[in-house]
Amino acid sequence: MEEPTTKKRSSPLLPDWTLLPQELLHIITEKLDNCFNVIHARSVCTSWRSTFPFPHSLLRPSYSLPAFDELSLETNEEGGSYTLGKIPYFLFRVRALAAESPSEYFFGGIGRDESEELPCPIQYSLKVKIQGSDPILMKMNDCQIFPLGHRYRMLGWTLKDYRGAAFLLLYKEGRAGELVVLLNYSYGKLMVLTSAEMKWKLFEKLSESLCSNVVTFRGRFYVSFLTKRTVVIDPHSLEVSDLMPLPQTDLNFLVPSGDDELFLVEVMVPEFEELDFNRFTCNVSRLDEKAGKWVRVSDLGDRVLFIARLGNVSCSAKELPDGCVVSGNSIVFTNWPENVAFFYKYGRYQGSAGENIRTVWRISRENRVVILNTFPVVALRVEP
Amino acid sequence: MSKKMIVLKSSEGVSFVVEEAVARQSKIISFLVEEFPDRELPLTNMTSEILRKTIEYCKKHVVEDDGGGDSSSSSSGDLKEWDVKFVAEIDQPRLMDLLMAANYLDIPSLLDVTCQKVADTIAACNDEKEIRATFNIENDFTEEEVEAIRMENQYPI
Repeated sequence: MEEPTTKKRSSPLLPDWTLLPQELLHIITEKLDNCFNVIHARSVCTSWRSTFPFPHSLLRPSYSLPAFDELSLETNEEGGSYTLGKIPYFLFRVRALAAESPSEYFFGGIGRDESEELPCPIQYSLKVKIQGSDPILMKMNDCQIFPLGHRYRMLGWTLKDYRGAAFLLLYKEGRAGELVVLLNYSYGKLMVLTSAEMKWKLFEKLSESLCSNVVTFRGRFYVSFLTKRTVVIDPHSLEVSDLMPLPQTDLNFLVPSGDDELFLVEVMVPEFEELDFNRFTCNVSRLDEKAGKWVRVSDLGDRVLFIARLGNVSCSAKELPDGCVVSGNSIVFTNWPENVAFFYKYGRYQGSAGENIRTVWRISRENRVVILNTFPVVALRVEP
Repeated sequence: MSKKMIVLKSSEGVSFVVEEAVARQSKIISFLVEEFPDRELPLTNMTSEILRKTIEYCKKHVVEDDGGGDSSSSSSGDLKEWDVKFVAEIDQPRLMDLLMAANYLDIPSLLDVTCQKVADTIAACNDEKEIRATFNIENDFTEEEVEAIRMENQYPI
C-alpha cells in the first residue's frame, strides 16, 4: 500500500489538503449537513482531527442518580444508583430505490450498543434492532438524517420500568447548576428528584393522578394526566399550575416541536360497541405560553407529529424530497396495538351514517404506515 | 463612457486585463487598487489557470452599476444554477487552489461555493478511507489513535 501513496504524493498536480488553513476547515465544518460527516472527517488525519471539533450534538452527558425501592418508592439509603443519560435523537429516512417503493423511517437515540438502547453508528453504518429479528445494518450514506434534539433516558431501563423522564439544569447566581428530574415511573407515578436533596419523592401535589407524558419546553416541565388534566411545573419552586381548557379525553399526548411550539394531541375515542382505531379523531392545540392556555389548531404547518412510547417527536416534512410520501400537517400514532397506522390529517369526517359531518383531525387513507418496531427504536414503513 | 480597466498578473507573469468593477469583488484587490492606482497588480501565488477561473467567476457575479439601480448581470436563480455548474466542473486538485485563491483574495461568495463543494465531497464519502483517497491524504494516526477513533465512532461520548 506504500507505493501508490508515494506515487500520488510526488505528482505536482495534487495539492496537500492537510495544509488547508484552520479557518477554512472551520467554514467547511459548518457546511457539513450532519454531525456524522464531521465524525468521518475527524477520522481522516491528525491535522483534520485537531481542527474538526467533536460535534456538540453527539455529546451524551449522563448523571448518576440514587436508586429507590420499587415498592415504597423511597430512596435506598444503602446506595445503588441509576444513570440518566442525555441521548441525541435522530430521524433516519432510508432513501427509497424508486419513487414507487415504500420509504422506511427510523427514529430513536444514538447510544451504546450494549445498553439495548438505540441504533448506534458502527463504522458508518446504523445498526437497528427490530424485535424478533436480527439487527439490520444500514449504510449511513443511504439515509437522510434529521436531528431531533435530545431526550433523557434512564439507561438500561425498559418500557415496563418507566414511561419517560424529563430533566432541567437550573443556574442560580454563584451556584453550580442544580438538576431537577421528573420521572414517569412504572405506569404513571410521577416522581421528582432535585439535586438539593438528592432523594426521590412521589410528586405529592400530583400523586392522585396517573401521568401520561412528561416533557420540558422552554425551561419548564409540562405533564399530561390520564385524568383529563395538563399542568406546567416551575422547576425552581415546583409550583403546579393547571393549563386551560382541560383536555376532553384521558388519552392525550404532549409533543414539543423544538423550542418553537408545544402541542397537545387529544384523542377522542368514539363510544362504539367495539374499539375501532380507524374511527378515532383528534383535537390538536398549541400552547399559548403567556396565557397558560391551549389554543386549538387546524394547521401544523409542515410538521409531522409522531406519537411514540418513549418520547413523541415533531419533525419537518419540508426537508423530505419531493414525491416522498410523508407530507406535513399530519400526525402518526406508533404506539397503538395494531401494526398498521395511517396519517391523521385535518378534514371532514362523518362518524357514522346519520351523524353530522364535522371537520376534525381524522385518518387519511392516502398512505398506509406499517409499524415495524416501537421500542427502543421506532421503525415505520410508509407505503405510497 | 469607457470602463476603467486594471491589470492582474499571474505567477507565470501572464497579464489579465479586467474591468475594475469585476476585480473589486475581491476585497484585497479593491484595497490595492485604491492604494496603487494605475499599476499592474502581481498575484505571485496564483497560477494563470486559477486566476482565469477566478476572473470568470467574478465576471459572472459582478453587479453592474450603470445607474439603473441594482441590476445584476444575471437573475439570482440563474446565478445559482451557474454556480452549481461552475463548481461541478472544477476537479479535485484545482478545487483547493481555487479555494485558497478565494480566501487570499477575500471573495466571500466564491469561498462559500468552494467550501460547500469540499463539504459535499466529504459527505458523499462512505467512510474515512474514501475521504483519504478522494483528497489524497495520508493516514498519519498511530495504532493507539486508530483504536481511540474506533471507540469514538462506535460510542459517541
